[in-house]
Amino acid sequence: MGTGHALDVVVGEQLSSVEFVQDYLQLHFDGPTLTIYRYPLVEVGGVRHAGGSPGYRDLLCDRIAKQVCSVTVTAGKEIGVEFEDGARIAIPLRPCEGSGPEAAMFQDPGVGAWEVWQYGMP
Amino acid sequence: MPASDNSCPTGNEADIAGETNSLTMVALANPPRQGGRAGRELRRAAPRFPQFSQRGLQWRQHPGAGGAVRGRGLGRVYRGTGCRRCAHLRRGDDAEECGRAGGCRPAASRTGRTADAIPPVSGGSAAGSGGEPPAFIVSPGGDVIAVPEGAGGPTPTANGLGFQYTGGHGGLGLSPKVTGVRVMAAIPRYPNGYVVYMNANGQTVHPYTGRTVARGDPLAHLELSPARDSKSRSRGG
Repeated sequence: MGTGHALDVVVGEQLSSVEFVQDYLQLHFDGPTLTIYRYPLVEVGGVRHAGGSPGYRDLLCDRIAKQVCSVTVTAGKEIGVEFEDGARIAIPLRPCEGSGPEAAMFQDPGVGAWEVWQYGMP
Repeated sequence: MPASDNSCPTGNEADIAGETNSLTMVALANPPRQGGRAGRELRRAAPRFPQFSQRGLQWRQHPGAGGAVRGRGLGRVYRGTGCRRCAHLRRGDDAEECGRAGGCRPAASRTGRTADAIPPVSGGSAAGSGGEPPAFIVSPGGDVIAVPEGAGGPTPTANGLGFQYTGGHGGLGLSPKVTGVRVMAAIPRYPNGYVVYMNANGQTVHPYTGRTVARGDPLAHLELSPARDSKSRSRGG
């Protein structure tokens, strides 16, 4: 499903790596990178796992080599990345305590496209 | 034009402004030697940023400005080497401090938030001719933002929230690990916009050390100063 965002290019790509940076993380898709400035929710088997919960990083890294089947962007609410195994990574677009001004940034160096989602912006 | 310490008698100037958002920037290429280049850069860049207009970030060209590009007067960029202390740019400034009316204030103190947030820049010596990238850009509020040497751009965001220069490598006081800088539109928390320095992996870094920083670090998002209006400029900024 296309969102009209630059992020659409990851559909059909695999999650190639997960990189933890300071207090945020990056999802790499063999080139394109989604930087998420707070730990996203990981939905597996209908259960949402928040950052810091036991096994959270394992669940996140288990998505490596899984293909993205769709992305969704709900303005002001959430970015969703769904995988072929039914798991989903959800990035809230509503600020929480300690969050910076940005929720996420997507960069596709192959075509030079990039996009930033700021909290409180459409 | 009213006389002020900001006036540029040569006409080699570029006024830049936003309609509702003051985050319009100018690519100032090699200002010490090619003052008219700022205008040419602006004219060339303007059509490339339709998204900015949608977000209230506008490039405007003054029809009677000759070689210069003028907006509504919120920001102004001059050729010259500028003040080493506050990064105030004025034609012919070569002194350590510009001595402008109201005092020479470091750029960081103008923001009132992040000391030494914007790397000090005393000139745009890194840029060359043609379409080469600028050595630095200047906000309507007078903040000078160093652009990593050799970085390409500016590239706007897909959703018009900012623009970036990438693929560079240090220079002008930046760590060699700094490869890119992005300038982001105003949001309630940063009403004049903010600046983020990045490494090759798109990770937020400290501009001087190149080390990654946490999202809450004061140097992760460098707040820009408010735009100076024409009235304050005529009083001396």
